[in-house]
Amino acid sequence: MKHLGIAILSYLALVLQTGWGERLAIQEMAPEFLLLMLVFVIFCTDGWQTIIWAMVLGGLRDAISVGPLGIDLFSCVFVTSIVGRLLVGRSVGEQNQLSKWNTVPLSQFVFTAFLSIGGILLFSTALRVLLSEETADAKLLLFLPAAKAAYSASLGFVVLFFQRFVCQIIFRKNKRQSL
Amino acid sequence: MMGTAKKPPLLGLLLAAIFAAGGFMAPEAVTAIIRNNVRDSILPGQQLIAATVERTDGFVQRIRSSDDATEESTDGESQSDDSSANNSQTEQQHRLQLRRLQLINAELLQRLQRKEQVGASPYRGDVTAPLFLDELLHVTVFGEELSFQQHGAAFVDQGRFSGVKKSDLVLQSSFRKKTSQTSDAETDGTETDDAKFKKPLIDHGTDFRLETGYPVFFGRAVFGRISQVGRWTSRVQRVTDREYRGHAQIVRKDSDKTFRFGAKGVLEGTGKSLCRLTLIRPDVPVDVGDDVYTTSDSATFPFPMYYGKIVRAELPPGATHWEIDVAPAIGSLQPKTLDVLRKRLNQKRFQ
Repeated sequence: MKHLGIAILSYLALVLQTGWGERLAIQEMAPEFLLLMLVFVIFCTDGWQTIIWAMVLGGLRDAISVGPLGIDLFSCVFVTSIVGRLLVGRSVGEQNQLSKWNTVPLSQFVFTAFLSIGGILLFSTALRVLLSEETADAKLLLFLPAAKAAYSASLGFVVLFFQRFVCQIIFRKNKRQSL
Repeated sequence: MMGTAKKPPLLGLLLAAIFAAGGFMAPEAVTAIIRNNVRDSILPGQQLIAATVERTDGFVQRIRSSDDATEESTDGESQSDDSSANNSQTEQQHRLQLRRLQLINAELLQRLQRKEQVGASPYRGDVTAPLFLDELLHVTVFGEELSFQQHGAAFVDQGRFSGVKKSDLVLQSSFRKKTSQTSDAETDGTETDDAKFKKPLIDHGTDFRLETGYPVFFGRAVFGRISQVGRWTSRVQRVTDREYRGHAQIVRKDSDKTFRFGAKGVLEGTGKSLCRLTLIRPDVPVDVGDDVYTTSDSATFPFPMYYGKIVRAELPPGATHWEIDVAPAIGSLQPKTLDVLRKRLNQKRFQ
């Protein structure tokens, strides 16, 4: 059921990325819905599951981008492996995954989202620049990925806050009804 | 119960590297199939979201209109806003009408000149039905592709071992694949352009018999052409894209205030906001402010369609052609709907 939910949310992120990314853009910064979904996956899964979902989401991002396939796929897996190990920490068991998602502090989520999305965008852009042997300025390599990562992380914060707020209301309502 | 592996396996990274390398080296035909299938799968979701947004907007509009009916204070402001909007709309209509009359003027003059040159035919001919008819298809733009803020980067499938050196010229190939000499290279599906001018995705594909190369219009202005076709979706290449090329013709206003078709050339996209008009000989007059249309005798464009206006025209000493910049009529437009011109067989010819 968990993976079905991730699949549905990934499809939603894909649809939003192609149709609504530019409408929500500020200047040149458009939110990265697919990469935000990947951050969610980092907290909800572990090990091979994370790797496979990173490959799927990176591959989808490749498919809707101009450029050769494979660059975003590898960037997503590479950065996710590092972030998953360093920031999210080791898991204690598969049944604890969802509880980790519900209890992770908002600050940790935002920090992880910023680092993951910024890292993937930076790595992907750097790979493309290296492969095309073009010169790149600081704006392209650093500023834009950081700005996009910050924007996407803040969107993720809003979504997560709203989701927890709604869950709290439902929880209190159920508690009152049980009393 | 303990979970699965506690740290991301290095084997996973190796697997990702293999898949990435496979995707990177895959031929364009394979990547096009993958991309088209992904785009086709996005369409139902986009339509669902669009329908939801439309219903929400309608609901909000109904609430607003019921609130506005009870208000009286802002009537004066809203009336003045309406009149200024009407004025700009009227001005736009007059501009379009003027453009249409300019074209009619130029076409009639061209026909007259041809008649004067060759004379009228002594035979009486019958007008028969054409084999192909032009049909305009109204399509919806449902999304855009991601692009990266890179300038001038393109990937080619030839390298040092094929004899390609760093300063070799890269010539633009046609849409069909072909391999040729070392200095001719084929871009492996990478189109890089300014981040502002994304490639729209439209909701029609082979299910509506669309093919690559079909022109795409926004009203009377040329928006671009179909560059990739999936089963249900297609990708549109704008006139400002680096790889866009189209036959173009200048329409000039003479001193006697008549409009004439001028020199013919090729309109090229540059990846920036302006296009370039090339192959205009130095012995023909060109002025800033001249209009650029598709050629009047083109099979792709049965009627001259508007590209834009010349904003820079320079003839450096000793140059073999004019250096002309054209501001496209579409600008940085992000339309919601477009028109695609397609051909269909005329059934009357088979009766």
